[in-house]
Amino acid sequence: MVLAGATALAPAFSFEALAADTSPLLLDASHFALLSAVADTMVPVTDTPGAIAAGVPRAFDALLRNWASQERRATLIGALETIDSLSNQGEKQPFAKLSPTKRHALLTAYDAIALKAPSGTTATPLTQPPTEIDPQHGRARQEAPSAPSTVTKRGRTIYSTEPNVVDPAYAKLKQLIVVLFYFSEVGLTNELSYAHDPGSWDPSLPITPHTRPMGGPSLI
Amino acid sequence: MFDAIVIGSGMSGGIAAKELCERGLKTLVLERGRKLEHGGSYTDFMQPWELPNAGMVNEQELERDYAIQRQCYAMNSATQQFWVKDSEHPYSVPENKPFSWIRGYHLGGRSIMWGRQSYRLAPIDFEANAKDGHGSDWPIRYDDLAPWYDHIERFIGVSGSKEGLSQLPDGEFLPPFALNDAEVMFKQAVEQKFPGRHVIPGRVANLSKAQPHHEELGRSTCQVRSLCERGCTYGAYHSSLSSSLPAAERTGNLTIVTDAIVHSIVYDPKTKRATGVRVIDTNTKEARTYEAKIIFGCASTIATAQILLNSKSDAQPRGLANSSDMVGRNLMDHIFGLTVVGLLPSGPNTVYRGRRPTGLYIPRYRNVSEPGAFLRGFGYQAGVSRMGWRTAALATPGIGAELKERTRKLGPWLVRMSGFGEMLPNPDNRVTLHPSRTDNWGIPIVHIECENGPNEHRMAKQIIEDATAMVEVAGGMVLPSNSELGAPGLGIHEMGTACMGKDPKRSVLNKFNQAHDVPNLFITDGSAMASSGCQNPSLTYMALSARAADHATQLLKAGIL
Repeated sequence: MVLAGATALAPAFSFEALAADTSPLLLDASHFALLSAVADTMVPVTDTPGAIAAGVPRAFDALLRNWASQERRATLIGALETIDSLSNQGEKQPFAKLSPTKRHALLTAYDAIALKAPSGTTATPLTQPPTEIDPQHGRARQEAPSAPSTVTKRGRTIYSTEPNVVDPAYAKLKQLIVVLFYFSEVGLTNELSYAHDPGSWDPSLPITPHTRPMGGPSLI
Repeated sequence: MFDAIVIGSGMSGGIAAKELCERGLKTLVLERGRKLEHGGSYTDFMQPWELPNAGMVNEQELERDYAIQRQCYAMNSATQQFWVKDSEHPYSVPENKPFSWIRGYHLGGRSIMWGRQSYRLAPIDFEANAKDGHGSDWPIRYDDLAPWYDHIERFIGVSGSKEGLSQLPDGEFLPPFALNDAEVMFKQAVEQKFPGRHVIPGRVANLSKAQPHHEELGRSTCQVRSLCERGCTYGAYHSSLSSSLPAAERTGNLTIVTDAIVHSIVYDPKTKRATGVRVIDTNTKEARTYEAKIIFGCASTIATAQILLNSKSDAQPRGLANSSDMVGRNLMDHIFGLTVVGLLPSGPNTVYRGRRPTGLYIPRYRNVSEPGAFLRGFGYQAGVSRMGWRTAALATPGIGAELKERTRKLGPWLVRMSGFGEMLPNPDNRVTLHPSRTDNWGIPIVHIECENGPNEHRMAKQIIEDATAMVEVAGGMVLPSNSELGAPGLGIHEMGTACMGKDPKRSVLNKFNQAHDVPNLFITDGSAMASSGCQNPSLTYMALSARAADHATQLLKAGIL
């Protein structure tokens, strides 16, 4: 098989891949604990497993190593540290040490503030549809954001870039954690429906209590 | 010495090679990129959780190496291997006239990543240049190409529905991928309100039902995965790797040489024929020449112009086959990037299963059944589907159990419409050789100067207005979306740089894609297009390739070439 360099193969985040991945983490122990607490708060255990069981923290650390630019890495770590400093100020404790209830309360409050449109602009009611969508199934380009976003011009091509919100770093952090969860085998199996090989096209089916949205990459 | 050399192994080259080999010609296919294996080089096995970096290409690489290719929707970490590094394959454009050249250098070319939409041009398309005076009058009409469309559709397998529309002729179709319930509702609303507009299943080169002649080549029925641009191990869509090159190979007449960049075509002024092709080895940079009786140019429109212009000689000082000065001119794409998205709150209470490899299509109606304030027309690729989990999870604030709960709920129906419009042939939109810059192999890079004109801008306005009206008539709420014309090139339908025509002074190729100036040179990729229609063009390139191969073989066998 021809693949573009070794980085193109890493990191998948099936459990097998995560178990086999012995490379050292980029984040130090306290940042990894903070990341794990944030991921667990965003996607907690309910009647189904959450982000921890899905292996999200380790997969996120791998993204920092293998995907993120230096600038992106700093921004994402900064977003984690913002949450920790809120906790240190309000609760006099690191975020990772808070009870799940307090973590949920703190992050819910910050989430609402952070994802507001900056003053003087309006958020769209839905994802800003990215420019380069595949018209056949509405698939977005890879970097298309999934939060309300700004539109900037480069030449005459219009790009959706970073989320147009009060704290874009937080929005990106949340997006990556949530997307990693719903791409994971745990997330896809328990929350959505995914068949790699559906085999046939059925254009009309009744909705039942078991109907779930279709999972998989790149659906807006 | 070969009977024929085909330059390029993509959509057109694959078919040219197959048709020449099947007629008994010893044929050499030259490909500038590396060899790929059908199946072995694909990434369609990757489950979502196996995607490198959750589908995202490393940001630093993206910035450094893929400044242009990253603009393509199909570029992600599972397909990264199929796109050129812009850093290694530069071209130049004037300031303020961007052109996005999206491409892949490997065996099979863009036939691996193509969108697979397959539509015939119509009688009105072949008559358009004669009627309004733009571009070179096509030397053929629809009836000349119709049997070759039949031939190609049968071979590649196109799913679609017969509709009886003069502006979008029917073909030899496999069963269509049916519209879902919301699309049926949309169809009824649009067709009732706007007589003359039609909402039909997208015609797509995926085997909705593989036929015995497909299975003979190892191809099988589409599994409705929509992983197509990663390469399909089932061979369920037509590509050079799954379909045309295997057909050529089984004749025993095919030779493929990869990693061979065509520098120029060798011309003998005494015989007034092309005698061979000079190549440079991609890896060793060693130069070689291959000889043949006939040569087919199928390198894609910009690369073909580059090769012809770089083949200048004392006898043909403006470049090979360029006595008309039309080589490189009339570069066209389809106007693109015009998208309208709307929520359909009144959609039916049903869902669908499978990831259909197509959507719906609205054939041209402006300047057909309704007037337009512009020349020519446009069509829409569109679809109605349930809003995806990403938007449910992320478009609004909220975390925790609430986020999980809302993401489990089936989303509302979302309609998306993207216009594809015809760009007029304009000799000032052109490809030239850069006067001083050369690539890693010493070949002058191309300079691409291309922009949309007033007709395209008027059409763009209408595309957005009409799409908005159609979404609204179906009860939809239109959401903010892009209403500005994208840079030319992003339609990835570039064509026109060696146009067919009746008059050798104003065109490059005759009615059989044979160069007016060089009788044993045939150009059958997008370069040959005298106008663009608004339909996705690959099917036409393939039909022209097959027709030209048939004619070239007849000339060869009659001793004329």
